[in-house]
Amino acid sequence: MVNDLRAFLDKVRRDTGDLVEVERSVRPAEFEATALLKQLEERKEYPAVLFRNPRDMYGKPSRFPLLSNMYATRERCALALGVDPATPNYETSLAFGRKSRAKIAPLVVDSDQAPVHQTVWQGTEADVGRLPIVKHFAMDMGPTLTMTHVMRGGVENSEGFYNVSFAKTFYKKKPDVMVVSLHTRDMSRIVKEAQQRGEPLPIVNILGHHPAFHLGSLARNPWGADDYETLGAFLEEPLRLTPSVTWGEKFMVPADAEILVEGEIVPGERDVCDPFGEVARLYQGQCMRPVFRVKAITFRKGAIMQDIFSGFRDSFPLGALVKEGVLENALRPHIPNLHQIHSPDSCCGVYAVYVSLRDAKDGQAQELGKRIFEAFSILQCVVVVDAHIDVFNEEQVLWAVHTYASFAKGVHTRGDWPGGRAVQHAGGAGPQAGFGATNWGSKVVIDATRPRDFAFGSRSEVPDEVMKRVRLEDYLPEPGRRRIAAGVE
Amino acid sequence: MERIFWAECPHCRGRFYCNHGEMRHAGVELECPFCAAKFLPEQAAALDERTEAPADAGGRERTK
Repeated sequence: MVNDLRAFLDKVRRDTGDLVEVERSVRPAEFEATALLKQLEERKEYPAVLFRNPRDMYGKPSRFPLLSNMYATRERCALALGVDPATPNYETSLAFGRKSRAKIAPLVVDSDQAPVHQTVWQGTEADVGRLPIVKHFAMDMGPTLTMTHVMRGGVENSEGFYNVSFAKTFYKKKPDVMVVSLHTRDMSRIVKEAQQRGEPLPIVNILGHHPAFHLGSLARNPWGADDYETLGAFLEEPLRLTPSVTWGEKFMVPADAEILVEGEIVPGERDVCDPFGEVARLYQGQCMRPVFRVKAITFRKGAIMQDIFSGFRDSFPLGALVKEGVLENALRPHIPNLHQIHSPDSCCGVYAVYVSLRDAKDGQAQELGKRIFEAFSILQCVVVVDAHIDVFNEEQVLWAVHTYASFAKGVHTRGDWPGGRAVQHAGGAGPQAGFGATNWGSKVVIDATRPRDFAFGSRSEVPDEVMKRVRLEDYLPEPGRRRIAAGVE
Repeated sequence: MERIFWAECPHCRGRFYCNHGEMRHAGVELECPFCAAKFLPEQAAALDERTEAPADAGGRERTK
């Protein structure tokens, strides 16, 4: 069986049960989907949500169910990456790191074997207004598609390579014109090179695939590396490709996607887009971005359209896993006493990482911070703790900050670290652009490891041996039976 | 860092913000996300384009 979205949804239904289906009609373009998702989040419930009967941009029932909140738990991300959901923390980060270094060559299938070509809309039929596009937040410019796009770079000197990345596409109340906001350096370079050649640039919006596909699109590849090979590694099988409807074999598209919107970026055509509530829970400011001219919409039978509830739980693991996996790969060779890395929910998986070290050395926190800011210039805060502090438990990390950190000597704030204020002033727009207006450019490293250079207290603990020997379940009944045992019921 | 400015729509009085470098002096019409009205920054009912005060001029201290 092919690893596609519906296979994964079956697995979620079977293995975890944390998928809910909303039968009642919703109007995603009028904030109704995000209102429901936010209420679930306020109840601390994070299921994947399948809206069975959403309305389209004309207020009519859409033929496409809408899926959101897929990434809202690390357990579901673990399941997507082939990791036991019972180990959603660093085991899942390590899996991301391993997969992002691996490659599996794609497999080409004929168009008639490609599920995504079961229905093809072209010409006037290719109307993006028929999709249940979500307007997420009060100040958003309009309904916005939030999933991955594929473009082809390096075509001037060679066969080129495929780049797959998340990007936003704004609905502009026209059937065949959208505006696409690209965040990654590689995608921006591909667009710039096409504009310099004066050529229309093919671009395809992938509105649904196995979640490992979308997670894999976050892996950091060097310029020229083919993301389709990386996505195969994330799917643990060759990614099936098929010739696109618009460009044939000159542009291959994922055969098992749910919905594809094929289009072109025409040189010189730009339009207004944003604000949009970005992954850091801040709006990105209004700006000008390339126009996306729709050529075709293709989809499989019973196609489901995927969306991300950006800036809420649904986007946190997307930011966190890539930082944890990539930093593990980058730091481990230089920092042998590295224990674990986590980018917490409190920063939306965007601006901070907590790092634990075994037997931390003097000065190591600053060295670590510099390497981390070099790898992810968007990061603003690095907290370094000892290995006995669980970086996935923010209460423990903040305990270390409040208790171990010397605010006189252990807090290092600078503007000239990579991505910092001084660097941005010298180089123009900083890397934060695209994730919301923070206005901050300085960086902080907090050394919250236990002081080693003078006598200092230690954290109180119940002995490990006794913790293992004396088990709560042997002394107290299950929570549901506790009240009965106590004579309450 | 992305410098922004806030604009108040002259039609619906909705407030939203824009990328300063791309939108403030480019001769491009802003588009109100609340009522879809288009207007130049100079036509806004109000603009807030203050920048952060430097630390040594009474702004926030952020260096040690």
